[in-house]
Amino acid sequence: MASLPEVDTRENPGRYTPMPRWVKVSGVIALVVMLVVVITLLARGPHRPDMTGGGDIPASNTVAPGSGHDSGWWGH
Amino acid sequence: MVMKPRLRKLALTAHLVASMGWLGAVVVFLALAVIGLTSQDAQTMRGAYLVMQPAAWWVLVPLAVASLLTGIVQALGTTWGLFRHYWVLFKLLINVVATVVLLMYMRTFGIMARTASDPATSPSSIRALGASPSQHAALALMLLLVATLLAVYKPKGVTRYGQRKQRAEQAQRRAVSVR
Repeated sequence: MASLPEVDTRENPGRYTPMPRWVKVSGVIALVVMLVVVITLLARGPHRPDMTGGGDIPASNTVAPGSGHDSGWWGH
Repeated sequence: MVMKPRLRKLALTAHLVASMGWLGAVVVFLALAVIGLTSQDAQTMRGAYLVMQPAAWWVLVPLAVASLLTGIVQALGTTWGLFRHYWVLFKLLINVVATVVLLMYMRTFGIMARTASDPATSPSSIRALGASPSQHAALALMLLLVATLLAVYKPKGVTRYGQRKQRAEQAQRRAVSVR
């Protein structure tokens, strides 16, 4: 943890060091993951009450199976 | 404003304790989620879901918030800055996203705890709560491991904002040395 921050020592004020490859790759991966999550959420649709088929869960505690919860806009 | 070495080490210690504590707590939650999903004993299954909610409020949430706050203090109090280096920026984003998702998931913990505590609910219905807790815990663990790797390896990469700040500071130092 003792390493020092890197310093851009170039003199030309008009040019910037290009974005490192790991940042671009990570950004693409994060974007793909977010898209997959959004598509999954949209594909599942809104929660339906008591999908368990057991009929023995009180209405106030009903959750859709496989999703485990309803948590607002994140809702799986 | 750069912190003095002793204060910087104290802030670093606080951040390490909070962050590693958070990581360890997530591992425990993953274990609880797997137990809840796979246990054949009804009592054990109920217990796993029951304990998740208070443990999340008393352990996960405080550690997540502490990690975020100490991380921001660490970044702003050193020459690394908060937005100057990509690895710091990525860690900040990971921390914010993980904390926000955790806070939103607290409602789910409540629902699961209420379901598990109801004696009228059958074990199969509790099992029907699904793999969501284990999925979330596994994803959180992956994110925190990535953040840890970034903190240790500190991959190179200065943002445009960081490059502008460095050049401004260099210009200032040159101006001072010329005088």
